[in-house]
Amino acid sequence: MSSIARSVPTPKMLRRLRIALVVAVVAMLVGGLSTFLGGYAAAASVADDVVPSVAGVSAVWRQLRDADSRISDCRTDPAGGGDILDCAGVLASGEYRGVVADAVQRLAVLAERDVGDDADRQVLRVAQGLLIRYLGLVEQANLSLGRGQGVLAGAYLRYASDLLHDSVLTELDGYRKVIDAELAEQRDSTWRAPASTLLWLLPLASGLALLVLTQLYLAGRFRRRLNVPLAIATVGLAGLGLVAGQPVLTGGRFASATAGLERLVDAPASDASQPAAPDRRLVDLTHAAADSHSLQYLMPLLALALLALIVAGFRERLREYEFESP
Amino acid sequence: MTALRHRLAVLLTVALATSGAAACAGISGESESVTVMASWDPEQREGAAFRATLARFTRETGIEVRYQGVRTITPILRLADLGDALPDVAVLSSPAELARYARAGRLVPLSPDEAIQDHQLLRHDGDRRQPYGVVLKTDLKSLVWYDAAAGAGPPRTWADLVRRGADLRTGGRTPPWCLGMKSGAESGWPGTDWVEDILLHQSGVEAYRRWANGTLAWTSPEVRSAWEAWRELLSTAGMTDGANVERMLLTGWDQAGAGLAGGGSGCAMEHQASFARALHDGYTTFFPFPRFAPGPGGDSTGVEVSVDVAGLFSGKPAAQRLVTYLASRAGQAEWTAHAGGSFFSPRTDLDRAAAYTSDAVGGQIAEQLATTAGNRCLDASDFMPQTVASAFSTAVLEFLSDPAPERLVPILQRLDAIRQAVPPAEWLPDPCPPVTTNR
Repeated sequence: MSSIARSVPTPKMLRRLRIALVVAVVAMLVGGLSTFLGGYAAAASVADDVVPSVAGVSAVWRQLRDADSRISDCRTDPAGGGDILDCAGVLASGEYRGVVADAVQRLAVLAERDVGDDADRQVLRVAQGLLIRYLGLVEQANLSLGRGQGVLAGAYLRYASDLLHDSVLTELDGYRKVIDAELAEQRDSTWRAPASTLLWLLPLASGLALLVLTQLYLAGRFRRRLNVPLAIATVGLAGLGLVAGQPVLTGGRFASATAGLERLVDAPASDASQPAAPDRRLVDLTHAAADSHSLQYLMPLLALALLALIVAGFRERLREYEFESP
Repeated sequence: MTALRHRLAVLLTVALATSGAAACAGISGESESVTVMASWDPEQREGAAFRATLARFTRETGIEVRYQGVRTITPILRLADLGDALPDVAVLSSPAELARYARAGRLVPLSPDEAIQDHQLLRHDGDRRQPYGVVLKTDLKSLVWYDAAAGAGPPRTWADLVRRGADLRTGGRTPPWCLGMKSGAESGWPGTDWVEDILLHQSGVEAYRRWANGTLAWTSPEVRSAWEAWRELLSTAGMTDGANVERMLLTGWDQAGAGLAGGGSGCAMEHQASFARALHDGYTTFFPFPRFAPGPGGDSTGVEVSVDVAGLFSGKPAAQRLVTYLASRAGQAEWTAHAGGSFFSPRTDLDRAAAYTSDAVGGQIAEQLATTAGNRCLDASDFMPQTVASAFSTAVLEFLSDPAPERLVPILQRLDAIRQAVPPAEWLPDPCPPVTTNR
């Protein structure tokens, strides 16, 4: 630096330093804002899409299984010669219609979530289609029961229950894998990768180093202890780095949230162990990890202020050479 | 300054070239992929064979194919239609369902191609109309699989078949017939196959044609006679006893013949299509559906077949190319090679001897399909409008749950009321189309 500084005329050197600092700040802003927005977008996707999807699948699974177990508990009444089911009331109440309608609606809402691609979400359409067939079979059982055909009603209920367990819940389990893949994609988001921090860390380090060198250069050339605007800019740049580093600093929260969700999604689901929904603590954690506190708006303002300080820091010194030929 | 300009120009060129290449890759990637939906489970033998054929297509053309195998394809496709998310190609076992999409304007007209034989194309009304589907797969339904260890050879007539059931029962094979109606939301279809085959063989092709195209009443003597013949067969074999009724209703269609070839005291005969060979290796001996003594129609030469028909739901050239490949001689040969004896081609120019060189049973079925090419009738329930077909399956279950003679007439009356309620435009004309062997 010193040999270069000696060989380059002062005004030219000052302009070069100013340009380098401006470039460093702009690069810092672009890199920092990108990683900040990308990092928080991944966290927001987990909070806004993955968490409701995990909860939705769990709710649909639970309500269908519960309703079906009440229907499946129907048994042929031996005293009635095998022709009367002892749970006619369960069918007559029509509760299953509400349950299926609710489940179909929930699946439609799930399909609107940004989890997986269109082809992945096709699984939900399959489940919806199967649920309509399930409803048809239970209706047939109800109809057969009304006609006094207990054996046939029992057969339809078995078909319905088998369809639910062998197909509908299997498809839902397939969708849990889609959620799992989405979760992994967000967890491994490029914007949250350690290498991405270099996008703002390198401009930050360069900017800080340049600011220190500029102070030394100015002190040597103009016999002044400190250039105040540039000193403030140094603090400001460190502050910008602190804001840009938020996704890294709050990364532990995000990691805990995704790990908790993964445990839920990876847990095998069956009749005995139904897929669980995220508890309040986990939901809060994912939302906290996704909360950027609107700091993304602060970053451009901070960068503008830094640019102003840099311009101001060089202005007086350059003015001293205003009437020299360049 | 010149050097700076030069550098900028180089940078700009590189940037443009990179973004251009990326854009081209994106565009080509979008147009060179096809989605296919069919009912073959990718984890089962049939689905695996289909996927292997698709993989060959991808290797040869570079076109990616995304396959979705769903057993209950009909409601799922309807839902996809509502959600405007139809696949590029769908393969359905029901020509009537595919024709419904054609009527609704959802299908893209198929371009004529020399690689497809004429009789593979399904048309609404003979040759005058644009084809709406291409038959990719055929299965013989007029078959009875049996355990060769259970006794005498194939019955020659229907009366022999009925007697055989009774003999097997007496000989300790209980129940004598392997019969399972459970098939999810489509439960009952194995019974519809029985009624169809009996009607075809008992009353002939013309009666079958009229029944399947909605012009013969369900309450007609021909149809009633078919149901009654089935009841006679079942009751003679003791299948209508309480425990067997429940067994028939609650056994999965794909499990019914699981012990067919195992000897022992289990069932020894099963009326099931050639696609049953994809289920397990027990399907080794069969006889053709036996003739009736001259019945009302007198013509009992027809055979029942099922088909899997591809429909084109998008105008992508890649989708048309895929359908053409799957229907072509090369595609069919590839499919046969991967199917392990569970695939039978609708084409008449396939080298059957080479295709089934190490599979005698498969060769016999393929030969039978070829020799009966002129009098094949499509599965009537696949040919009828969906409403009627569903009611037919339901009626079978109701009939089996209580096969008392007096229950049959109300069932048939209900079916006929449904037949009459379906608009004539929804019925297809000819379930027994002529097969030409010109190409």
